[in-house]
Amino acid sequence: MRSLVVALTLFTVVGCGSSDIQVAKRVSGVVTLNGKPLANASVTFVPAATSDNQNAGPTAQGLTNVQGKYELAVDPSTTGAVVGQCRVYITTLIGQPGADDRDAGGPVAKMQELIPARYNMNTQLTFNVPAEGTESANFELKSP
Amino acid sequence: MKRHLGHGFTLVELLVVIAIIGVLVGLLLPAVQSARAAARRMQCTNNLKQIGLGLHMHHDTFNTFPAGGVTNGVCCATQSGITWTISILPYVEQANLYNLYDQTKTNENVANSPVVQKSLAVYSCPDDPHVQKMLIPASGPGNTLRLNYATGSYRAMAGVTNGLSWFDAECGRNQPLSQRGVLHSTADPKQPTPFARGFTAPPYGKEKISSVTDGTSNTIAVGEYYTNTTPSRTTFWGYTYTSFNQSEVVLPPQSRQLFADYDKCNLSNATSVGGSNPCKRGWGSFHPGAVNFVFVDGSVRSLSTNVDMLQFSAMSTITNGEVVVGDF
Repeated sequence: MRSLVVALTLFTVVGCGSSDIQVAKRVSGVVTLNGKPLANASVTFVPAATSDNQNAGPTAQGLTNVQGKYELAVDPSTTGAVVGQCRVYITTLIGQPGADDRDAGGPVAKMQELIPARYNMNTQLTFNVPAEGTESANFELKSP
Repeated sequence: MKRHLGHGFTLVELLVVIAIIGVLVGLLLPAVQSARAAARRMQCTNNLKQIGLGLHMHHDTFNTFPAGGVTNGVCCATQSGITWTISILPYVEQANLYNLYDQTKTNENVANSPVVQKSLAVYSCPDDPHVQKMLIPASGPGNTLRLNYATGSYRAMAGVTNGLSWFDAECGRNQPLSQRGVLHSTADPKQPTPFARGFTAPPYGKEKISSVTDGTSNTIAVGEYYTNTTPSRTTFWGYTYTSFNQSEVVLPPQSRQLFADYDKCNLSNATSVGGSNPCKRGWGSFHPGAVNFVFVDGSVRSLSTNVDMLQFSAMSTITNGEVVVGDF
């Protein structure tokens, strides 16, 4: 009887699937533009799907401070980034939270992009996130 | 003294019976619960199928898809015209409701309140915690006038933007034409005045099947969005104004747009492009790990919330020429 109960419990517990998406706990680095630290730039890591894994995993984002240093987080409660090859977007066109609740148009439309499109909208930047994380995901951008 | 041998149960027998019943119920309950969840999800998917068919019947009749919304002037106090959900009402068995809607008046006119305050099963996903409610939306003329709108669960795909202007409003013309979605907003020149107009350039027009050059089976038409936090930011099926029944994809891609939790999405504002605006235009559901979409060809598919966000944005434009790899 007891073994039956144990077997049934195991049977029901084992049924749950597990995700194969692996997140490296800490991923950080420094962004420079023409050799100078770039502040207030948004850095986005977008994991790429492959033919055998359609579920690439969540994107990770971070914001550079005055030293140009950023740290990535996949959501507000999880730091890090998905392990593997990621496309990287770096842009200075970021929202100003709380500044304006308009749904369209508004002052944000007048913001200036300081970084060439080859680092954001037409990005050619990639980074391979190691499983143990890294503190040297550095990007040296050139403009123009 | 008589003894009742052979009558009643002993304590051990009783315990064994209770234990067996307990195990059986323990097995049964999760099965029943997941069967109920599967049924809710199926109904949700079926609604999307009906919406997809409705869009096609609209196309058969007018030779275009409906506009996501009809804007009558610049953001944000200008009242709007008709929206896609109202345009396809005759094709989702709601012709009477469609006839009640006065297209010579704005969406926010109280004459149209009886229409937009009606909860419709076809626009309500049973997994949405806010269906069958009437609420005041968080922004726009409907908020200023303190108007109630019925909630809904489905949003039109308006396009892919850089987070500075929006295909669900008049400013969509600032975005590249190639990034528009199939149900973006437009201004209809046949709409009667008196609508204030402040356009500096004409907004993009309505779309046909022939303009979906990326392929109708690679392009999203309508998907789910609802949130359990900040109910005034959920979907309002009949509210035309920008971000209440149309959503977009913002580049650089942000997984937070698939959170189905408006407040949690907003926590990433400081580090992400667009601030709170991508959250207002998100996609999401409470089905575990997946969001349902109807594509322009009428097929309904589930996309994982872990989908490659660049692939997701490729599926959101109609002419951008991106290659959608793999089988979604």
